[in-house]
Parts: sequence; structure tokens; C-alpha cells
Amino acid sequence: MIILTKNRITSLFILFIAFFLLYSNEQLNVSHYDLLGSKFFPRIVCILIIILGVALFFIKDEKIENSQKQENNSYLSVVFFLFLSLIFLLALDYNLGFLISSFFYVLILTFMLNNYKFKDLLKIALFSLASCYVIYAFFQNVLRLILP
Amino acid sequence: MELLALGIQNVFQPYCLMLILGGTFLGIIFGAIPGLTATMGVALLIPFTFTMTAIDGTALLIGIYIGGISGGLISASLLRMPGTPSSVATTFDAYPMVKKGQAGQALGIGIFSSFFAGIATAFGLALLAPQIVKIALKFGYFEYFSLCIFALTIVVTLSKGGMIRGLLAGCFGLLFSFFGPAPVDMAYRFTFGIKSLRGGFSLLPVLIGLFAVSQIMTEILNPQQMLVPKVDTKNIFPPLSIFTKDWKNVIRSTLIGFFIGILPGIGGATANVVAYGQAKYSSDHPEKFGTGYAPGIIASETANNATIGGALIPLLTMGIPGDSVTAILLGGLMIHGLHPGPLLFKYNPDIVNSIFISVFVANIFMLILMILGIRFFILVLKIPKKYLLPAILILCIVGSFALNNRMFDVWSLFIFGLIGFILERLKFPLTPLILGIVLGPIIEINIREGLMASRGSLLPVFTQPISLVFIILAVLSVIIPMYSEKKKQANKV
Repeated sequence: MIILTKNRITSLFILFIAFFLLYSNEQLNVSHYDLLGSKFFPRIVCILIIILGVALFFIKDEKIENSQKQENNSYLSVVFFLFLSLIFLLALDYNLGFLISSFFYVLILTFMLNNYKFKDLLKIALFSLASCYVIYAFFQNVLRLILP
Repeated sequence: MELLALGIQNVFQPYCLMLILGGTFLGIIFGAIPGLTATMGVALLIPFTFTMTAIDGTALLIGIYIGGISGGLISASLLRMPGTPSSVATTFDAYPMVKKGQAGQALGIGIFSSFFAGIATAFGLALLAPQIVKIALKFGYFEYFSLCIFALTIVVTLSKGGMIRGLLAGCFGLLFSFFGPAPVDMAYRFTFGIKSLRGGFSLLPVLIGLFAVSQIMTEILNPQQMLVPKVDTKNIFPPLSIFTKDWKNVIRSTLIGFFIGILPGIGGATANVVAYGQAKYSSDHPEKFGTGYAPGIIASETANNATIGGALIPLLTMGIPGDSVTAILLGGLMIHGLHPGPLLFKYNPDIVNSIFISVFVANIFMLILMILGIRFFILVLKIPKKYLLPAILILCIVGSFALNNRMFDVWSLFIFGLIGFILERLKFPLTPLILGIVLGPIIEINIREGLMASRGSLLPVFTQPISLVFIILAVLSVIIPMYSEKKKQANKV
């Protein structure tokens, strides 16, 4: 029976990505203007990744330290951060505007980093408003960069 | 000598000195903020030079260039977020040193290293430019290919005890660089029907994502309210013995940065990593690199500032920009009716010599401003994380968007932030990945065009002397660390 260690799971994932990209590369329709063509380097690199991925499969895992075990419990905050960032990016993509989107983004993020304490909410809101507006004004008006 | 005296006379005017000072100051700010770069700073301030004379305009832009490259040290050291691609390797040792409570020391070593390299290469620029460019002219397709292969083998040296992981990260970096249009035939690779992927990934969002956003995610996991519990503002002036004991590293890194700067298209991002890798490889204590070891900071900061002098050489002597900043500088010079190349030296020697003197002066101003500003920079560490991290994140987002005015770069920022976070958890090094992304396109375009020029023959890689030297160095770079590692393991048994 094969025991699935961290290295082996990583290896399987890497092999999946490599095979998928190798397959995508081979589907490419290109004309040959030179000896190697545009498929050559991606093909070589994918094959290298497959070889290295297989080698990783057979490497023993390092011992996990206690601090790393404790970290597993707090990945929830990272997941929340990613979810929040996704909402923010969609808001920018769907033309909600930089000022409004970034204000709420910074507000919620700062609130999260403050361990969800409501007593500092006003300070956090003022900070979010000020920082977003200053950055917006500096880039839009001084540097003349058009923001979303 | 008379021409240099004329240059001094042109530059040492109150208005010109003020412009260099202002430009250096702005450059430091641009370099220090992740998301803003020296390239952006120069590009944004070029319009302000339209009403200035050629000497004043170029002096301002050179100030921004030098300040921008040097400013990357600040965020790289204090936040582990390289302000510019040229400061990636600085994070390896400067940040651990800051974590130990030696922020002043880390910044001081970086500043003086930058200053030394800046002044040394300014001399090289002023005295040797036309001679040095003759060596650069000998670099053809195969020489570039071999040099980049050698630079990639630094991956082996940088992969601390995990060669497989280092090589995998390097390969993934190469793979990411293949997304988008291929060189030669512009075939769109790995676009999966997504229009935005047709442009590929831009380096800056990838870099900021891998380092800055992933670092923010790591800090979210950390329950401490401050980034660094203990902040030390003493020991700003590192003892001279740090540099004199490590004089070989200083000279080698300066030469690496200077030489890589001369070669168009490679840039400071590669120079600082290569110099760091070589410093580690040549050190008596390679195990200390990455733990807050001064020679690591010296190698990186010396090399990245040395690229400035190097990059100006092909610009002034041949009209070929050495990196992205000098590409914009070229535009700036042409706006003032100047055409860089051999004729610039003949018909406008006063401008050329003024540029040389501006480089000296800007480096001196950089040293003064950075030393005076250290205590203020370190104050950043006293800002609670809950305020600092969101502000930095917004700046990263704006900086990424501002690059090409496309939302895809902001998406790339977060995607690579997640990739960087996961890779670090799985003990994969990030530097080989960055190196792969930077060098992938250069390797591919040079070997493909080289093979077209040589009608399909790969022999020139081994028969051209310069190319052969780099191939031999690359092989040795791989074999010697592997052999040393096996010998160590055998001795343990």
C-alpha cells in the first residue's frame, strides 16, 4: 500500500499539471519557421518537471515541527483573505470603482487583522477612507494614472 | 580631463544639483514602495524634463534611476517585499537580520554597499566605456544563451538542501515565462482561450505577488501585532571591517553587476541573484547565507547598483539600452535632440561628461538621503500590522495595475501570491522561480535565433570561446555543489 505523504501528494499534483500542460502544448498548431519551433521548450520543460516530480515522489518527508501543526488551524484567516480579495477583484472588474471597492476591502481586512474587535471600528473606517483616498488622489491626480 | 571639468561645471549649478537631489529622493520613494519601480518613476517624470535643458533633464532622470534601484533595499529589508526586481536577493539576508532586531545594521550595510558599487562603476563608465563596449559587442546569440544557462545553474547553489525542489521551482518559472506569445513566430501558448493570457505574465506583478502578497498572507497567520517585536535604530554605520574582510565578495559582485548591466536585456533582477549565488558558492560559510549574514546583503546590493553604471555604457556608446530604465532614458535623450551612440561622444562630449558627473553626484546624494532617512524608514516597523499590511497591499495593487493598465496584472498579483504562499509552505524556494521567469524568454529567443543564424548548428555554443567558458562554468556550478553535498553526507556516515 502506498502511503500518501506531503511530498507524494505534491508530486502527484505537479505531475498532473505537467501532463496537462504537455498535452495543451502538443495541441498547439504552429508553423515551423525555425529548427526548434514554439513547442520545443515547453515540451522539454514539461518533461523535466515530470522527471523531477517522479523524483520528488520518492523523497522522504521532513518531520513536521509543532509550530507548523499549530499553523494549520489558522489557515481559515488566509482563506477568508483570499475570498475577500476575490470579491474585491470582481468588484473592480465589474466597474464598482477603485475608491469604493478599496475602501471596503481595506476596512474588512484591517478589521480582520484587528481580531474582529468592534471597539476600534471607527478608527479603522477612518484609516481605510484616508489611506484609499490619499493613494487614489496621488496616483490619479499627481501621477496621472487612471485607476479602475 | 578638460571635458570632465566641463561636466563638473555643468552639473555643479544650484538648479542642476537640486534636480539631482529631488530626483534621487523621488527615486528612493519609488524604489521603496512595492509596486512602484525606478522604470515607472523615470517614465512618469520624463514629461517634466521637456522644458529643461538636456543636461538638467538627464540629471533628474539619472537621480531617479539611482534612487529607485537603491530604494528597493528598504522594503526588501524591512518587509521582505522587494521594491524592485533588483532587490530580490536582498530579502534573503536583510530581512532575517531585521527580524533579529538589527534593522539599522541591515540598512546600513545595504546603503554603503550600494554607494560603493555606484561610485566604482561610475568610474568604470567614465574612464572605460568605449573600451568595455568592445567586449559586449562580442556577445551574440549563443553567448547570451550560455550566460543565461549559467545564471540558471545558480538555482542549484541557491536550493538550500533541496535540489529537486529548487530545480522544480526553476522549471516552473521557465514554464510560466512560456505563457503568451512565443518569440520568432508569435504563436500563443497556454492561453486556454483567455484573451488576457495572450500577453503573458508581466514580471512586476508576478514578483510582487510571489514575495509581497505571499508575505502578507504569512503575516496574517502570525498572531503578533507588530512585524518586528524589537526595532534597533543603532549601528547604522556598519564597521568598515565588514567590507574589508569580505573584499573579494565586494569586488566580485561589483564586477558581476557591472558586466550583466552592460549586456542589454538581462538587467538587475538577474545580477543580484547571480551575485548572491556566487557569494554563497565562494563563501567559507555558505550555511550562514539566509540567516541574516552580512555578505549576502553586500553581494546583492553591490551587484544591483553596479548594473546602473553597466547599463549606461551600451546606452551612451551604442544607443542600445541596457535595461528597461535606460530604454526610457533613451527616449528622454532623444526628446532633447540627442542621439546616443558614437556620435554623441564626438558632437556632444559636454552632455556625455555631464551624465558621468551626474551619476557620481546622484550616488553621493543617495548615500546622504538614505543615511539621514534610516531612522524614518525603520519607524515603518513600529506601525501596527493591521494598518501597515492593507496599505501596502493597496499600493501593490495600484502599482500592478498602473504597469499596463490592465486588471489581468492585478489578478496575476493575487494568483502568484497564492502560488508563492503554497510554495513556501511546501519548502520550495521562490528565487529559482523568479530566475526562470526572467531568463526563460532570453534563453529561448537567443537559441532559436542563433540556430537560424547558424543554419541549425548547435556547435557554436561549444566552439565560440565566450560561450564555451559559460557552459564550463555552468557544468562546474552544478557538479561541484552536488559533489560537496555527497562528500558531506559521506563524512557524516
